[in-house]
Amino acid sequence: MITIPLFVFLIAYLLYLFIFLLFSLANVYHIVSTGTFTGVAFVVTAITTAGCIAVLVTTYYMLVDINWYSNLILLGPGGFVLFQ
Amino acid sequence: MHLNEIIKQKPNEVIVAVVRRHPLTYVPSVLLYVVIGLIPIVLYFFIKQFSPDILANNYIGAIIILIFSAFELSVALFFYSSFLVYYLDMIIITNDRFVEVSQRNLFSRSVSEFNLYKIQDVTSEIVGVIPTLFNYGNITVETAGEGENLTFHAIGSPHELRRQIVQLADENRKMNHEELSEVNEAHV
Repeated sequence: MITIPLFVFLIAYLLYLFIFLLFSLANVYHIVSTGTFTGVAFVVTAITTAGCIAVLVTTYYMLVDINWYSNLILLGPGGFVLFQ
Repeated sequence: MHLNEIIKQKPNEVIVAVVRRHPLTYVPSVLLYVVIGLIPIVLYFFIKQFSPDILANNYIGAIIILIFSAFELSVALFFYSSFLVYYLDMIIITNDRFVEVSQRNLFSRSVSEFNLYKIQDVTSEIVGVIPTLFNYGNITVETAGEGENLTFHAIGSPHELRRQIVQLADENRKMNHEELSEVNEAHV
């Protein structure tokens, strides 16, 4: 029986978040270090940051009741099965 | 680091203008990212409306939300990166030099410059209905020597900028000529 715990997907998502954070910080560093962090750049940065925070908060509230220790059965005794 | 460090500003050098492409040229990119960013939201409500069982399922629902969330964050990241490329692409005009900063992508930037007194000819043009309405166009700078002509596209108020560049070039030539004369006299 091949099963995948659901938290594997959560860990993959968190890994992606880490990479996303690194690239975001690199972006902000670029614009600050080149002395071009003007009003326009600040507004765009603020809007983008607010959007990302909104996505993360919405994701959190939509997933807060999920049981991450459930198993996703890919191949059971009766053949290919999607869920347990 | 500031602009003056990018151009290695000289002691008597003053930054006269920082020129970027007209913001209107970036609007299509913004709209594209907005449309792409709306796709997961529309899909989510579509699935909720027509197949609510999918989202009600603990597994598929969670995986779909994680995928949509990652997609939205990716769109935000790519949008900000494209904004950086647009915003860090600029021409810095000082009273001595013409510096072009070209941000090709996030980790690739080139800086090229030439002295204003080398400018031989400056041409500005506005072509098209929308550029005419919003006053943006191209500027071509011809320099002395074997260098290619430099053309900068979609610059705001190109005619005004051309006049400014020509004036600065004349002043720089005069100043350069005076300095050369002083050096020659000192040697004599």
